[in-house]
Amino acid sequence: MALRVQRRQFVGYTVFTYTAAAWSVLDCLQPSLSFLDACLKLCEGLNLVVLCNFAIVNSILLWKGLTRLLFGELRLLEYEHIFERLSFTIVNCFFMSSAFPEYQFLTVMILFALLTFIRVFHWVLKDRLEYVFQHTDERTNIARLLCSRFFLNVIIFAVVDYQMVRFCLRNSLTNKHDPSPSAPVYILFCVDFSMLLVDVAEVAMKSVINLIELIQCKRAFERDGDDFVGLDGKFMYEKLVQLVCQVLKLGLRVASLAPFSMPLMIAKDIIWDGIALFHTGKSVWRTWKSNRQIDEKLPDVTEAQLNASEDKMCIVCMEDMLPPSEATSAKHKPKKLPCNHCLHLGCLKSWMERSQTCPICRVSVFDSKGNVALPNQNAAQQPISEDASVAQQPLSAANESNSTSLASTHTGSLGAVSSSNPNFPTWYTFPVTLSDNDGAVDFKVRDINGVEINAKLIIKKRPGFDVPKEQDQESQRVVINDPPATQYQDIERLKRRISELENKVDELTKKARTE
Amino acid sequence: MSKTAQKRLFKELQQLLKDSPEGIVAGPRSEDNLFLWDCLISGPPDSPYQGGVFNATLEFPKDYPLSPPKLLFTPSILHPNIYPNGEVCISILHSPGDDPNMYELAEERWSPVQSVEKILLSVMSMLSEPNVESGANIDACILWRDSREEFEKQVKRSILKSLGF
Repeated sequence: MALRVQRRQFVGYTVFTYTAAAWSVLDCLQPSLSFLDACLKLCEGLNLVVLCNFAIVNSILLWKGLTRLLFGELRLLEYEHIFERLSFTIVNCFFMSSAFPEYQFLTVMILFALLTFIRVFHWVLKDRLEYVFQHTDERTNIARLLCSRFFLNVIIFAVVDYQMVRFCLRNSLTNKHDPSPSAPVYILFCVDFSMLLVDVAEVAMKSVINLIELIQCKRAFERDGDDFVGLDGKFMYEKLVQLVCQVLKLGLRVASLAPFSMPLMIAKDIIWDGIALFHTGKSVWRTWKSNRQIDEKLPDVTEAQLNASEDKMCIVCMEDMLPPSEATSAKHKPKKLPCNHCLHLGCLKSWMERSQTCPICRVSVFDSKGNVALPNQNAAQQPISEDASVAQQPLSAANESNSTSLASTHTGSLGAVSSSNPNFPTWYTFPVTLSDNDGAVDFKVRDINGVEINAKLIIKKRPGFDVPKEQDQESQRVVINDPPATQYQDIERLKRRISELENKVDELTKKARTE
Repeated sequence: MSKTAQKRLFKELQQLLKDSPEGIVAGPRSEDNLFLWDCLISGPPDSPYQGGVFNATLEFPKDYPLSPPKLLFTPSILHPNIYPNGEVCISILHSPGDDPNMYELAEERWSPVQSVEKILLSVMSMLSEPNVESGANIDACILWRDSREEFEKQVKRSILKSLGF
């Protein structure tokens, strides 16, 4: 409904623009003596506004037509990305154009418009990559996929970018000997267009990776191989491609800066590219390191341990885990994380590419130095501060109301130490006492040899939580007694309730203050 | 790749068929594509959505248990956490890597422990208790916060309309 109204408005506006432009041209042409006179009249006052508007509306029309032709209907995500980045790009353009002398204004503006136009298409192309391969499976015809619009677009953009780079390069070289040096302008655009070329290359390389995976998948399907789980280290390859492209981009930028007197504005881009490169590099390094460590450093789950736990299911693939001796391939070997959760090696690897934490309780698998974290039964015997203990107990939400819940249950049992030894029960409970002075909790634990260890649990309250209670605001207490690990929904709901209450308290304090 | 995802989706479907929680029906749209599910969610009692039955589609990525699925209400419903195009915005449906506005904690986001059943249950709890702090539909947020009665009236009207009254 709203879309139709919008469309009608746009059509009306287009018609208006065209009539206005025609009118202003006629108006200038009729009384003029010569063509030059008419042109001069067209370039001043209202006529200029009308013509600018004409150009903008036409470029919008051109953009719509071209996207329809090249990509078909755009998805919501693609629109969002475009609008997110467009404003920044345009502002950046104006900044850049101010760095060049006035007589080059028109050249710079035309080139910028062209660059922005082409760049938007590249954003869409990047977003399309994922979408195209999302909709492939082992029945997809590869020849047809290769002839699809997406790959055609990759080729078209590569050619366009290449031509633009060549054009800019030629211009910058010929103008070098001219008295009017417009070389920096062309060099700048040359670099920008080669960035786009690098982008296209990145998309092309990533599609090649995806294609290889698809071909392997097809082969496995034909052989009726049931357990094809994807290209090994595909994530890593993709990251590497990204890294290479970022290095190339940074190199191009620096290279453009060196021999010419470039505006300092470029330094900003260099810093940005540098930061992006750093982040990608870091994540590649981390993934590579963890991939190597998972197999070596994490212990296998023994048959006895597997039998001792009642739940043998791997949470990622939802299949039962078999002991290492019976596992059909290395990928199906069960591995134990520092938090005592067990997963298949293959499943764990593919999850670790995305996040370095245990999928079940979110304890990070590696410590800050990148080594495998210590199993948590050691940690439980030492004085714990909340930062550590929250991370090690899946139900950290309970701690948001910790003081009340601890107080209400301090005579009962609380706290748990899990043990990796199958001969001992998996969970210990122990009495805790609330010490009066600092709100900490004391408890005693015995280790296997019967030696008693005194431990102290210190819980830091959330900042801003103990706002003085106002007027009718009764202190609300949420007490969770040993909630079962599956009730994430309840916890989510409680968290929301707590944040709502906090907001309410904040509002009330504000109100009280203003009154 | 897709084999693991297919197996896992099949397992989840089996589990859902065995005992599905109250107020939720879900299953793949067609037999040869396990990656697109249709769901029916009934409005939770004691909420403005009580009595309504809402249709939604779940779209799973190829690397499913590692990346979250996308949940889309068709047609969209008026709710602070549902985009006007029907897309649901809750933290457990966001992948752990991207954190667009540094708002959610890592432990609230997607992990393979979640399943279709858990997603739909959290959607039901979202229906009964909207989170206005990270709203997706600003109009609905304002309406919910400032004039709750009007909000409830509009929701009731759309439910009646969807049921054919």
